[in-house]
Amino acid sequence: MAKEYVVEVKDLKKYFPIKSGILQRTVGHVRAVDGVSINIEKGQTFGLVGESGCGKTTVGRSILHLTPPTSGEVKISGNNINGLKKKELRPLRPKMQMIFQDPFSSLDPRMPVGEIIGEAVKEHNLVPKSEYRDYILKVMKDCGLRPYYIDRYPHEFSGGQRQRICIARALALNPDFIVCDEPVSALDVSIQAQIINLMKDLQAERKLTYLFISHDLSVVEHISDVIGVMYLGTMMETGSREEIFREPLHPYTRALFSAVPIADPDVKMNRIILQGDIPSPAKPPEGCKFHTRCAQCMERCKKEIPVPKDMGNGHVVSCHLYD
Amino acid sequence: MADKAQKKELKAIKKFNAARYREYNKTMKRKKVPESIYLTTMKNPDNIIEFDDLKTYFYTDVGTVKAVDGVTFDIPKGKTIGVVGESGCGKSVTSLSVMRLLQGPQGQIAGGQIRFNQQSTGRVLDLTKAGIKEMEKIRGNEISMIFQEPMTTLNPVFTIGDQLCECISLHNPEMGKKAVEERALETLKMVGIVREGILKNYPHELSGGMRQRVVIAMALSCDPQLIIADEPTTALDVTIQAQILDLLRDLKDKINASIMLITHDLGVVAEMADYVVVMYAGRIVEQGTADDIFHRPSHPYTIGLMKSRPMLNTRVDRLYSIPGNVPNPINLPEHCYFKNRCESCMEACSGKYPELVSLSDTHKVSCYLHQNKKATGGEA
Repeated sequence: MAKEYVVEVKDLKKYFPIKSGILQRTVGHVRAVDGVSINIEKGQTFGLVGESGCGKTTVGRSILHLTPPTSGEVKISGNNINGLKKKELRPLRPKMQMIFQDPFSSLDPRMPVGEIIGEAVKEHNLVPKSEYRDYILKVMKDCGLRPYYIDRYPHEFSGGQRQRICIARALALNPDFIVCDEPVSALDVSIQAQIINLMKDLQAERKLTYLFISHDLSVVEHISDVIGVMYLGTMMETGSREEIFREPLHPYTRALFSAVPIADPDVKMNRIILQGDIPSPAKPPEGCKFHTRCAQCMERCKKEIPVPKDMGNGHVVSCHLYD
Repeated sequence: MADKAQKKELKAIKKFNAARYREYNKTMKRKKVPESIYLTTMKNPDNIIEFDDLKTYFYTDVGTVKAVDGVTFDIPKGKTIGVVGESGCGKSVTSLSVMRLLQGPQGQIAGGQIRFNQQSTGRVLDLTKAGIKEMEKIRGNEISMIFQEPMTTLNPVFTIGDQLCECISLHNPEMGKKAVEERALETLKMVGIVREGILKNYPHELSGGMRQRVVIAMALSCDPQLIIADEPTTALDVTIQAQILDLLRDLKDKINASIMLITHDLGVVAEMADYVVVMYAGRIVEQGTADDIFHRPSHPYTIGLMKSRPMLNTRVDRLYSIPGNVPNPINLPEHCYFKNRCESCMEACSGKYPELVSLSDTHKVSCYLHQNKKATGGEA
């Protein structure tokens, strides 16, 4: 019963050096990502949630080798991309794309829309020159952009339309796998829904695989098949959407879920309010990284690092409570 | 030819704007503003502030942007009112109008009244007409504001102590340095920061949540009667947001203030607000108690907003999405601004802009769908 994984990530680590002094000696490391493993099946969406600074974006970027990971193994569509040089990575690039967070700063203001979308298509010689314009128009149509937008510049568009351009740019290369880094957080609620629907439609049409990074739990719940909860660079809990929302096991997941405001004035929840802030990833706490803010902290949490434990149905949790 | 007509139009706009700017500069230069200009009476003495047909316009080079166009609502004492809407709908401009912090001379209050019930003197002021001196006394002292971005609200080159003490000593000139510092520490304690030497810290040494607490402490330092919170938690994580909302709720009861909460997050509003105002393109489309708005939403826009938000533990295959975009704020049409995006659009919608109709004592909506029920007009 081997499943077909489009993305396999094993024990991914990314440390950023902290330099100081005149000699710029490395005095420590920020452990942005500290041993994360993710497997994503074809046509599925993996939702990655966590607070800001927990390393969600770095995971996405390291998987695509936009920032080369410190260690760990990444396989995309069966190709091991570890230790490849830039040149060797290039032919693989069209298969893995990224949609960035802020549609206002991720588009070149001096390029018309058609060129933004088509730049990479030209570079990779995906379509013959004679069909190029038709191809771009088709991609634009798929993303809900009108054909006469092709010669306009990004500043003429609203946030939602810009995000459509970003999606079209990623789709033009016909990728298998797209990392979506907070694609809807910069948008208004009514526009958010349009973009999420578009992404879902495209996924069904083209059998796309998404890694969906967001801090908005309700959006992640809506779009994901599998969800991973990160805290300070480590995965605290992973599982199918149904499992995680039916029965969140890790105390952090529970606190995170209970913090989401619900649009109903009658629902007064028993909110778990976490005290304090996320500790610095430069010196993460010993033992379980969450123990400084955990309400159910035990003696051993302060010393031992919990190992991921499978609780059945692919629901994996790293917490001493379940040993 | 078209080019010529366009040029002529632009020239006319310029001339029109210049007249507005002159008028504005004249009022700004006034040294002394007689009390008779700005003293009024409250419609209901239990309200802390009453917006009456407020109009705030921006005179730009391409035309007049009616950012707020005839907004009427009240904030009762000790209550929280939530103002919801998409970006560009005029919610922030409404709050800036109260504080008179609009970027003049382009941005001006073009009409209407903001009546403020000043408790320290027992007077009622019309904030749209009050002089600068009068406003300086009110700002930060009786009405204070919490801004959206805790990262940019604080000045990076001054310590937390400098910034917090400045506000206190400005409004209480009789206090000594020691007393001011004590007061600063006291307010910091109130927002949950107990840390040695916090007054000597610079903003960059604190996390986002801590900085937002400092901003809240600053807003609270003079025991204001009204706190305007402009998207206080938008830049924060959910766990920190829960902390901050919890804090605001506690503090409101402690110092018995009213809160005007501006946000686009319906969840936050549901949790905090007693009354809700829904704005769209500079006008109020629906207002009522939280119960009215969340259980009996009546305007198609409000209904759309509720449906378009994915909710935890409720599965839908497709999210509802409101088609189209917010209209261009320059040259808004005569008819209902929501007409082109509305699903239940009727013939009557092409007529003039629908007036606010009362559905119950508290619930008002501006839509032709409900127009026939009871035509009482804007006031009720």
